[in-house]
Amino acid sequence: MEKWIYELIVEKIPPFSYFDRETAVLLQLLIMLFVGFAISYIAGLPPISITMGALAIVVVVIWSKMTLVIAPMIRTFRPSLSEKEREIVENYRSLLFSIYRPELIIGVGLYIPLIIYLFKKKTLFEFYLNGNPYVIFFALILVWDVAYRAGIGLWVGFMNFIRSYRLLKASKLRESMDYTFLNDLKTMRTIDRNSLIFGWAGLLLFPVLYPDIELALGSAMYSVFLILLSLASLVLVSRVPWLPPDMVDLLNQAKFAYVGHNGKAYPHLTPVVHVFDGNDLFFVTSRKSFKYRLLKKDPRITVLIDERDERDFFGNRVVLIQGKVKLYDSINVLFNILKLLKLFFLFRGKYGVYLKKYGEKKDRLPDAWRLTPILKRIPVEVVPENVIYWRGARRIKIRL
Amino acid sequence: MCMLAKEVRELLNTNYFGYLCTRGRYPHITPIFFVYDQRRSVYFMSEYSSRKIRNILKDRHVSLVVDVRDEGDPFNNEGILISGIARVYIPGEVEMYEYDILYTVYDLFKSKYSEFLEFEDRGDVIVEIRMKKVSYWKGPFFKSYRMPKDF
Repeated sequence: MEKWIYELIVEKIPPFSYFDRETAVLLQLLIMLFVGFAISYIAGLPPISITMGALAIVVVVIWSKMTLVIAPMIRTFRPSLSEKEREIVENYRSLLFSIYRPELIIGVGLYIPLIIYLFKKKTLFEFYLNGNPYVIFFALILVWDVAYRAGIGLWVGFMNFIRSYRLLKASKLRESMDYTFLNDLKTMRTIDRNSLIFGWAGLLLFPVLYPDIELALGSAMYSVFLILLSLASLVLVSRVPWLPPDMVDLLNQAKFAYVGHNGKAYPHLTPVVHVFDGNDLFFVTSRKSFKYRLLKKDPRITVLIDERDERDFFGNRVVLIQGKVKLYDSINVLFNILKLLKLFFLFRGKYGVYLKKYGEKKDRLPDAWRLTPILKRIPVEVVPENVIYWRGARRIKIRL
Repeated sequence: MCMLAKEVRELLNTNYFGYLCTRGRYPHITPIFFVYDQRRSVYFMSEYSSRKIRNILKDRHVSLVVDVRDEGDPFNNEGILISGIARVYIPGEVEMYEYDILYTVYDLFKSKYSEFLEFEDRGDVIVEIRMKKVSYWKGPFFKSYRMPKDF
């Protein structure tokens, strides 16, 4: 698989090739700052030029770092168990690392009009560089660094969005046991988050370009566009289920789950009500329950959800999820208000009949059963680490 | 003399499925077919190489849930949680007098499940869960029994 030119520079050209990627980026920052300060000193540039030049260098280095973080992640995807989704991810990867180097073409496409504009308008050259032709030459190298990386950001952001959109669409047409691995979907989300950082970092160019307000607005528009594109991609890919439709149906339809814990004197096992939001599994427990005390001490649990067929045991379906819990019982409630609101409505939709019965027999409810969310009943999220599915006697290990 | 409450015995005698929890790096849960000997133990059969047997051989403390669910009314949900000590009867390591127990258990299995299952000789082992503590619930009502030491 091809690599981006910047990756090849870091890997092959000394002194960067002598170091790991983290150190190489740091070294790049130091070299660029040193050269920048030296040129500014020799040319006698004002402090504002030095400050803004340093800020532009910081943006280049942040973007370099993001480039080196994102590229290896894209190479880690495994072939999905859905043929259509496998094609989409393969297509995404091959286009990003195409031998035609689209990221370079976009970089050149941004660079050429940019330098034409800079030479034509001259505002920035005169404001920062006093029109000094030697310093302008070095400034053009910095402009290329910005344009090339902006090209990578744009290409990756655009491809991420297309990938997420197509994956979500394809996931709605899955066959019963088709799925894309959870950890690959998580990696896609991480790539999108890094693209968001790419966009945010671009906003630092606004004060640098401010003397030329048109250019400053142009760069801000680039950043906002990249942020929106990455956000949209993140939202779309977060909605792609990591489990096959057969299991999603079971998790949605089954009204009861069994939660097991290694316990104290004996293992602890209890039936609970649960909801599945397409990606995460939740159940609730009382603050007064033994289970809650156990989970506070050791977050490792196993959840079993099944569909019993009393007349044909081979028609039974069972999902077993082993993992750790995330308890929404403290300050983390505030940071997850939207998620918990969604959870509240999911519970209300799935267990409407139960809630009605609780309302009718309120006076018979013990304290532990009171339904005051958060105060009395704690939402618990299951973070899966191992998933097994039985369809009749067939055992299927779900790869994460 | 049986010391279990009537409602607990009824659940054990009328349900086909139980959920067994064994200890491991992560707890392991698995649905099982079981029989109750009307005294102090519940038995199930399993392949010797299964995860639950491997877990039991490392730690004999287990739990078993047997329950009846009512999707329309939570006040009708009823179940028991049995906490107990498991013993795996490994062929060749069983005392002569224990064969009677195993034959009885096998007969109990056949009479309970033969309508639905074919019993084949797959090298399964019989596992006894000797009850130490039983918790019973119906809706919000909850009570717990601790078995006497000589039970």
